[in-house]
Amino acid sequence: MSKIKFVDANGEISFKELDIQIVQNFKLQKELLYKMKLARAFEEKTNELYATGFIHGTLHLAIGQEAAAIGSTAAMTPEDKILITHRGHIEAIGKGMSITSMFSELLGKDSGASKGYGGSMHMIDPDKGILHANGIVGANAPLACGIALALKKQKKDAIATCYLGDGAMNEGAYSESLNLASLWQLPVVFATVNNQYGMSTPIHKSHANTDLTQRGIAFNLPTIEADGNHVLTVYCAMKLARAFALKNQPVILILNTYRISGHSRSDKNRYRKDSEILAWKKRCPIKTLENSLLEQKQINQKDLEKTDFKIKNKINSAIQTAQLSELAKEIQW
Amino acid sequence: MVRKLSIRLALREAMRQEMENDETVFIMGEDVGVYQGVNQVTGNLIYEFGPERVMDTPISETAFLGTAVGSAMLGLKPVVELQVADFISVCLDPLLNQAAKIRFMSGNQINVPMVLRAAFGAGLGAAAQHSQSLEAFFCHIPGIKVVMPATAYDAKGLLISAIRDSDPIVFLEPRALYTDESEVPIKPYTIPLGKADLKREGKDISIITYGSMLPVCLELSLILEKKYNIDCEVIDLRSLQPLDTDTILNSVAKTKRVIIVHEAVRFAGFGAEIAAQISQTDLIYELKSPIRRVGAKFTPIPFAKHLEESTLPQLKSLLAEILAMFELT
Repeated sequence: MSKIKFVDANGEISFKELDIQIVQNFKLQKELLYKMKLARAFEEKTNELYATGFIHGTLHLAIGQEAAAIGSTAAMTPEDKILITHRGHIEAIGKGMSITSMFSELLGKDSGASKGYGGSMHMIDPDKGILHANGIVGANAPLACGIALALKKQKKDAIATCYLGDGAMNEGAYSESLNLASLWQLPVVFATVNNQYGMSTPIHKSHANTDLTQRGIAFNLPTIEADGNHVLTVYCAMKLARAFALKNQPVILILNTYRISGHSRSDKNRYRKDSEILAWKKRCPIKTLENSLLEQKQINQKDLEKTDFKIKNKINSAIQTAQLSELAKEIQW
Repeated sequence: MVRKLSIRLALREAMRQEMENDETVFIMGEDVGVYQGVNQVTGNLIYEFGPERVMDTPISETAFLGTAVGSAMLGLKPVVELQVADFISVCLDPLLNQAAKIRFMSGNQINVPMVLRAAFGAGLGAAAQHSQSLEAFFCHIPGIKVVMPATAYDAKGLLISAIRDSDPIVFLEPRALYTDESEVPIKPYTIPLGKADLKREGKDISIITYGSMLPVCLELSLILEKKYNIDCEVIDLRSLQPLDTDTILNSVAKTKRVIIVHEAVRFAGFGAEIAAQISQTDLIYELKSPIRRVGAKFTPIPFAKHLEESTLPQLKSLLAEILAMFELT
């Protein structure tokens, strides 16, 4: 368990302990464990369906990033809006999207979330507040400003969260949006899932300043940085970020994690060492929480087996439903 | 009583009436507030609706166009001003990859009811980066509509329709014509998008045009009638996407001669699409003369006045083209 780093708009650094009520909330922790496991199982099953030729197109898995996705989405309300990325399956699951409609989408079915017109990179579900899943790196940032502007104008008690990766921080759209959000005091969180790489390029080869908490200072924005592999830390960090945004103070959230899976199907893993991947695997966010709950005797092996069985059935039944549904139709636009 | 308004004031009236009518409509763009807009279209709206609804933005076209798209996704109706269409180069993604695709990619779940207003066109000595006619480029993006009024009456009706539409619209305003006046009703009215207008009926030749070349074509048709007894039909397309193909084909079926005139460079211009649409019908066998297209030279717009003029289609050269079609040269 680590502290949350807070860098205010002037660059003053402070550290915050995790909220003790959250640390002792085991009901919440069990829910987070379940959701992370579901997210992992979804990604692994998707990979399998892909490898066996059931899914065509491209696929960007987020195995290893579950704490960042599940911890942050769990700290939101159903009214909060999110914009996710091309690697967005697990945030969508976190925000409550049906895995049946997701599998249907991946299989190109009419019952898919986007009726077969979106696919893996575009898991959109406005009823769950998932307003966009963007295949253009950095492009979510200005859109999130617009969502936040609308929430502010409509006087809604909700925020917009813009998910993006460390790579997106070097897009012009990102910097323009930080400035606009700060200038107009928009209720938006720029949730940066720092998985260490933009495709194959590590941060030290792409960021002139590798301390990601420094970027906000230029735009008069506070930054919250947290261990993105520790789901409770992420949850508390997002709660903190959300509280700022609700008061129309935009904020940057940095969640440091690691993508165990490759970038996409084209990834031959030529840019990182096995030892590095292994080291991060040892910090698996799911195992971390599982072990913590086992040690505290909040769950036992039998509970875990039950959960895994439940998830397996849920996934299989979702796929079965998806496979039985009709193919996507041509729509007259 | 006949009331005349300029295109500029007709556009402003359309925005004012829609903002009064629907509180979700708002304006954003560079210097649209107290500066009153670089083209003086937004004018005094800032004083009528305040800075919350007439929003000055930083010079961050990607950020503010993207913000407009995002706000439209939650049901607001932004009317965004881009000072000149040339600036689309620095904010293409929110239009091309976002606004144009979201309804489609979301399986029809999310609409983007946004209007992007932009002045276009040469003739004002603004040189290569402030004078382009990029409509063909916009028309090549499925998912957006492209509207180009050429009169004040059409400007008001089309802008109201555009604001009420549920899809993203690129609304291109001929900069050289902002002061052109015509009769404009005071009450709000709409003109359907995708409906061309016969600006002049005739039987000998169809002149198909839009935007800044409309007044030139109308003047030309008077000369042709008086001096050469040629009766021109002048079609103002008004919107290029959706395109009113029926009106074009009906006219060509009647006149058997067609010339397409636009300010944009002729090569790969929108005229090529119209020519192709005609060519793909049996009308091609009935034509008395090959289809002609007139547009600017294939070059960036030069600064010097005489060079700028010789780059753009001129009345004289247009006249020669048409006379050639009647074997009168």
